[in-house]
Amino acid sequence: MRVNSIGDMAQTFMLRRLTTSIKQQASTAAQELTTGYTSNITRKLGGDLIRLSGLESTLSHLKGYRIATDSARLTADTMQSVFGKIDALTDGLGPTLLNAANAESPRMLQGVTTDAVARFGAVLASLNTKLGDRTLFAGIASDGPAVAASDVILSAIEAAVIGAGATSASDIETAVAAWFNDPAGFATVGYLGGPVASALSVSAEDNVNLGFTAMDPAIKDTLKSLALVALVGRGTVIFDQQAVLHVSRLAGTSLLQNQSDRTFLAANLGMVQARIDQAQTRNEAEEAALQLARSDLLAVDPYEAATRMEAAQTQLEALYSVTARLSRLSLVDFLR
Amino acid sequence: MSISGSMSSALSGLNAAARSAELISSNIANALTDGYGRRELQVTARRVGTSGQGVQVVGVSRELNQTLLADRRLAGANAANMNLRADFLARLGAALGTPEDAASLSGRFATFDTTLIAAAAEPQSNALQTNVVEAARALTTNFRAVSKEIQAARSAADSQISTQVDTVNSALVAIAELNRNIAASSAVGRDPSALIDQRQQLIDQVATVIPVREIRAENGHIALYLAGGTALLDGQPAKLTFSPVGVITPDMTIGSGALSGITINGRAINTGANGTIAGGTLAANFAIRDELAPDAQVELDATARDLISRFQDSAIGPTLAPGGAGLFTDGGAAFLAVDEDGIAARLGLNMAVDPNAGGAVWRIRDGIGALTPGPAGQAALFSSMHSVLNEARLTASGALSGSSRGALSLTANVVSGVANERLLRETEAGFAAARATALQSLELEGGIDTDRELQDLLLVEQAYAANAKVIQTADDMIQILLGM
Repeated sequence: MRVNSIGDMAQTFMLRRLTTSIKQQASTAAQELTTGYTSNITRKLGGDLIRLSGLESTLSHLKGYRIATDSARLTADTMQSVFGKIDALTDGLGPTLLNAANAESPRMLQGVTTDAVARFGAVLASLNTKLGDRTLFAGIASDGPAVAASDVILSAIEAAVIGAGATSASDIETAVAAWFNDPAGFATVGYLGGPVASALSVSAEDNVNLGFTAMDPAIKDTLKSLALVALVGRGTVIFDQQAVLHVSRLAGTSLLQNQSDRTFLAANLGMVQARIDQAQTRNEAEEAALQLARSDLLAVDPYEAATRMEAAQTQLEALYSVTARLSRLSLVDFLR
Repeated sequence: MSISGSMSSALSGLNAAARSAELISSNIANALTDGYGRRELQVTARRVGTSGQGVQVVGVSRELNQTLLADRRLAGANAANMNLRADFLARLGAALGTPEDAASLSGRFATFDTTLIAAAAEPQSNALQTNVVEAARALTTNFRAVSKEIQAARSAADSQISTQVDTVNSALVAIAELNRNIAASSAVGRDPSALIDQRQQLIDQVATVIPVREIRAENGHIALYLAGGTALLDGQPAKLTFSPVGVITPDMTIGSGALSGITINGRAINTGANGTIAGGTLAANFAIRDELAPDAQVELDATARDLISRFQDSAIGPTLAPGGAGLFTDGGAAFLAVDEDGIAARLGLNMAVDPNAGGAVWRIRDGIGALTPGPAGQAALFSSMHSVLNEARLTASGALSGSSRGALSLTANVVSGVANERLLRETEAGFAAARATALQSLELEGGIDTDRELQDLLLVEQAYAANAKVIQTADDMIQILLGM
């Protein structure tokens, strides 16, 4: 301890050091006050960035899942509306056909079956529905159409019927059914898509399967029944009047049966839609919770930051006036 | 006693006062000079025969607290050492980034993973495939950037060592020269204080770089020794040699002989943590070059290796040739475990998926080895890439080897390790700085106090006036005698 003197530099050194440290505090507080986040994350988290990293990556994943659920929901909704369209197109065709066949009215039957050719085409067109640049019912080959044009399919069936030499109603129905089940038949000529697409992750835990294609049995059976009626309507392979009536009856009956199969299909899709919705809700809830947790980790209480800034300001002002006073306190000023 | 004796005493008083004023003016002029030791005139009563007559100037003393000075030098060197290490870790931490920043290493990982999830939902979308490729590219760029930063820090440390060795060498030569000058100056009775100031400043310079002990020898000489007893200056200055290399790559180490150590007078010394030069900025630069930065590179390499290996796996798709490169490559080629050193610096994106290198982005969906685009709706590869990235795998190398983690978790652990060490070092550096500051403050308190000098000057002024008055009075007395 010196009693007789204190070097001038000691005072300057102290003042300079204090000014720097208080200014630093003030600028940290100002930054934290304006951003609302801590200026030194590492220090706030005590050097443990693993928790924050986990939070951030989950939040980032949820952004990806948002795209996935949006896409899945749109796909499922559009598929459901296509099922609705197919229902509307085939609805009432079965009973009308049975009525006409039972009334044995060739003219009435003619009208119905000719209309069925157009409906067959319309059903095929709706199976080729695209969402963006993606064909919904074509499986993984989503860049091309799902099914061939109605003419192509009907001609192929006609060739198969002629090839089988079928003339009676039941022979014709068997030949048509065989073509639809033959891997070289519908699966090659009619269905142009690919295998079923893999399940889609809509959250960290949920996979939904939107693998509905034109090869689905319910759809295929509907196409088969419609094709039978369309064959009658085109009148190229069935000439016998009795056979016409019989085939119409068979087709009418199976159309009625198909309707319930398609309802099951639509119900399955409905369940998938529900799961997508649930996943979306869960994801949103998780995101909100994680955002909260994240701001708990990073945020600074603005009142606390403002108080710190205020304190630093007061301290700095005090230091400035002390500096000014001290610098005036020199013997030189009093020696005259 | 005689009148002429009074005159002579008064004259010696005038002389002493004048010398004193000269020293005070020098003190005040150097009030802000670093390393300036306060001078004071040493006087004693003059004796002529057996009686006193006047004042005699014995010499000039230079105030110095040797213990404090030695402590301050050690503390300063230690603080500078800690500071350099903490700075390196801060730079490394900044290069790695914190997870909330999307441009950080872990942020890049998360983004890459996210683009995989999104692309799986819309596998036909060219935009989403491009996103995956670009996110993967950003990830590789980030790895290379961090690696570059680490090696740049090593290169900077290497060139700083070279500069510091030059500084020490020239300071030692200058100190030896000053030693001789001080001895010569003292021998002829001149004031060597200015030379001593200069020498102290030079020793301060050396002491920040290498902690030294100052030993006072005869004739005002000083000798400088390292902590282990090696002489830096003992009569003759020692010669330090070091050969810098320009650019440092991860494979260059002091062990491999690619990097230089330090020799003192031709003898190699230990530059490690417990070596003879431990504690100064020179040791800190060696620590950065040979320990801290290589350790960081090893961890980064382990993370990069883990990433490459995950994608260089036949489980990721049938199109991957056995032994062929996956999505991430070692400079375009397949990665081999023996090439792990510096892999982070060479991490690249497979050219097959890189549109800038003649590849096509659809391969990210259909497989690296696919010849033609596959079905547009095939999302299986995106899903398996996502799971391969997140599945817990045994980490093959680095400090975390032996335990199983996902790629993101491994990165988080590595980044967190750096952050944690940085905090520890910053705290240590804070303590060291506080101690150095306190000692420096104490040293400065012993410096020039202008108020005190002015008070002394007032006394000198009075003494001068009084002595002059004595001369005038003696003169009057002689006049009276002569006029009788």
